[in-house]
Formats: sequence, C-alpha cells, structure tokens
Amino acid sequence: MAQILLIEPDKILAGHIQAYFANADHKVAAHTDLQQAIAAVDKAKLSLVIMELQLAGRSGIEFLYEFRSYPDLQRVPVIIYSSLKQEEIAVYSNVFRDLGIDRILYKPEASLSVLLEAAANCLAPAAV
Amino acid sequence: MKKSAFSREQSQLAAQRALLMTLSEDISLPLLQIKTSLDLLENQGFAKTAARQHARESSLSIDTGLQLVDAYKLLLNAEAHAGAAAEPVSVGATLEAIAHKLTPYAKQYNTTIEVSVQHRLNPVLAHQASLNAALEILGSSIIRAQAAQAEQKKYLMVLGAHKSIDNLVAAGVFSSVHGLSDRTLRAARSLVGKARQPLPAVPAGAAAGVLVADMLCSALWQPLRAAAHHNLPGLVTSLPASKQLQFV
Repeated sequence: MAQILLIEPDKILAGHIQAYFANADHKVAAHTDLQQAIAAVDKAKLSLVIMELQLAGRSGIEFLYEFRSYPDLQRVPVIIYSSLKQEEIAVYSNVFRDLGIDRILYKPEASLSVLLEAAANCLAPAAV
Repeated sequence: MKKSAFSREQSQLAAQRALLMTLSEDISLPLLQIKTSLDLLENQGFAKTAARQHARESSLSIDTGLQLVDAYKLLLNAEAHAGAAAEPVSVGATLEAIAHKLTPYAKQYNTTIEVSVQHRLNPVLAHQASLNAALEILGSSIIRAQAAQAEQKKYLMVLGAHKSIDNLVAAGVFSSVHGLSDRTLRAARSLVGKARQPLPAVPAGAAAGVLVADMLCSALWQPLRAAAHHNLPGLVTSLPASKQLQFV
C-alpha cells in the first residue's frame, strides 16, 4: 500500500481526497501544518506527496526546498494540486524543474479521478 | 465628462475589480468542495448513505458561497444603507443567530462556537442585514483559517461583544488564529486585487471573507480592528450604541 502525504489547507477538500484515495487502497496522511507534516511522515516509507502551494503562513515553495533538503526525500515524487493557474505559476517553472516536481494540476480543472491517475503514474515505477 | 470625474470613475472601477478578484478566491473554495464531493459520490457508486452525507456537506458549502455573494451585494449598496436604514439591534441576539447558523459548518472543521456578550450591553444602531452578513462571513473565514493554521483535535471560536470607549460597542469574532493584527489588515487592504494572499497568515479561500467583512464594516461603521475578548484575540467592528433605547 502506497503511503501518500497530502498537504491541503482546507479540511473538507483534504477529507474528500483521502476518502477517494482510500477507495483505491492508498493510505493518505493529510496535514495543514508543514512542520507537523515533515515530523509525522515516515520518510523511509513515503511514496508520494500531493500539495497545495497556497498555504497559511508559509510558502509552499519554501516548504518544497526544505522537503528536498532531506536526503531520504529527494526522490519522492511530488504532485502540485493547486488553485493557482498554470500561467500564474509559470514564473516558478525553473524552480519546479530544480525541485523535481512531477506534475502540476489545476484544482478546478482536475477531477479527483485525474489526480488519482496522476498519482498512480507517479507510483508505478516504484511498484515495478 | 470632466477629467477628474473620469479618473474617479476609473479608480472606483479598479477598486471593484480588485474586490471581485478577491471574492472569486473565496467563492471557488465552496465550489471545489462541491465538485470533489460529487467526484467522491460518483466513486462510491452513488450509495444512498454516502449521498445523504454529501448532500448535507454540499448544502453547507453552497450556503458559504451564498453568504459571500450576499455580503458583496450589501457592500455594493453600502452607501445607501449607511444612515437611512440603521435601526436599534440587539448584538446578543444577532450573535446567537449567527452562531446557530454557522454551527453545522463549524462542525465540519471540528470547531465549537460560543457566544459571549458583556452583561447589560446596550443595543446598537446598525443595518441589521449588513451586520449579520459581515459577522457571518468573518466567522466562516475564521473557522477555515483556524483549522488551516494549526492541527488540533478541536477548535474554539467565540462570537463576542463588549462595551468600548465613547459609547461604542465592539462586536466581532475571536479565536486562536494568529497573524491578524491591525498592521497586517492595513497591509492587506492595500494588497487587495494585487496579491493572491493579501493576508499571508490566512490560506486562500479564507482571506476574502475577512476583507469583504472589513469593507462592509468600514462602509457602514468602522473598519475591523484587532481586539481581545476574555484574553482571546480577534477582529471587531465598533458600533454606536443606540441612544434612543438607553432612556427606555
């Protein structure tokens, strides 16, 4: 079973994503607090991170830099699932390339099935 | 049209555009909640028990979006409401009604709402619908912001009112949300329409409610300011006490 870390500031959206992924046998740990997210996650077992960039009190990009600074987490795939449009985050394209972001999905356009499919694609190489 | 009148109209349009942009942030959240709820329901094969739960959740999300639209409409007509429609309003009864309305929504965010009104508080002179709308959207924004800022099992939000100086009554929303000071509010007012998160301490989807409430309060009474109620920090607006009823 894949262990997925979800960083989503809205509790209701997080609950929906957790339930949807649970139906596909994925265990999702949802957090709003970035420090707690890092502390709570079992770095050795983490398979994927799904996160919103617009968080309370701290930049999501700042978090990603910290996240990638842990040697255990440098290869963990990351999907950005955000309310920010592609053109709004285009300025960060180099940053995302440096940070090894696997996929960027725009929440209003990407249904939960698209998110699950993207997650499955990210998890597939590890499973092989 | 004279040049000054034209530039005034331009600046009013720019302010309206900025406000609409801010508003769209908060309205997209309840819509996303409904969208993902439907995704989940479809995934669960439209099971009857799940359908009931998702219908309840979606109804609360719709209410939140409509509250915001109502507040925006009141804001557009705020000038007309500023003086003419003011009436004596019981703050305690207003806060009780808002608490009752927000409680089901707050439960989704593990939040308990309490009402705390100072003993023998005078009624205030206000436009009832605007006061309700401002405190309601402020409350629902604080519920979301509090749950997003720190992970706790339970949260508390207090709708409170107390006497203030100069025959004013301070009424507002108090919680453990941090980063909502007078300074951050001032900065946020100047960033409306320019920044995605004018209030950095508050997540997207919660900031516009605070800002629209601030604009509504500002147009009708006084802008929101930081205050404390029984040692709990929060945001209040100051309302004039109804002099007429003091003699009754």
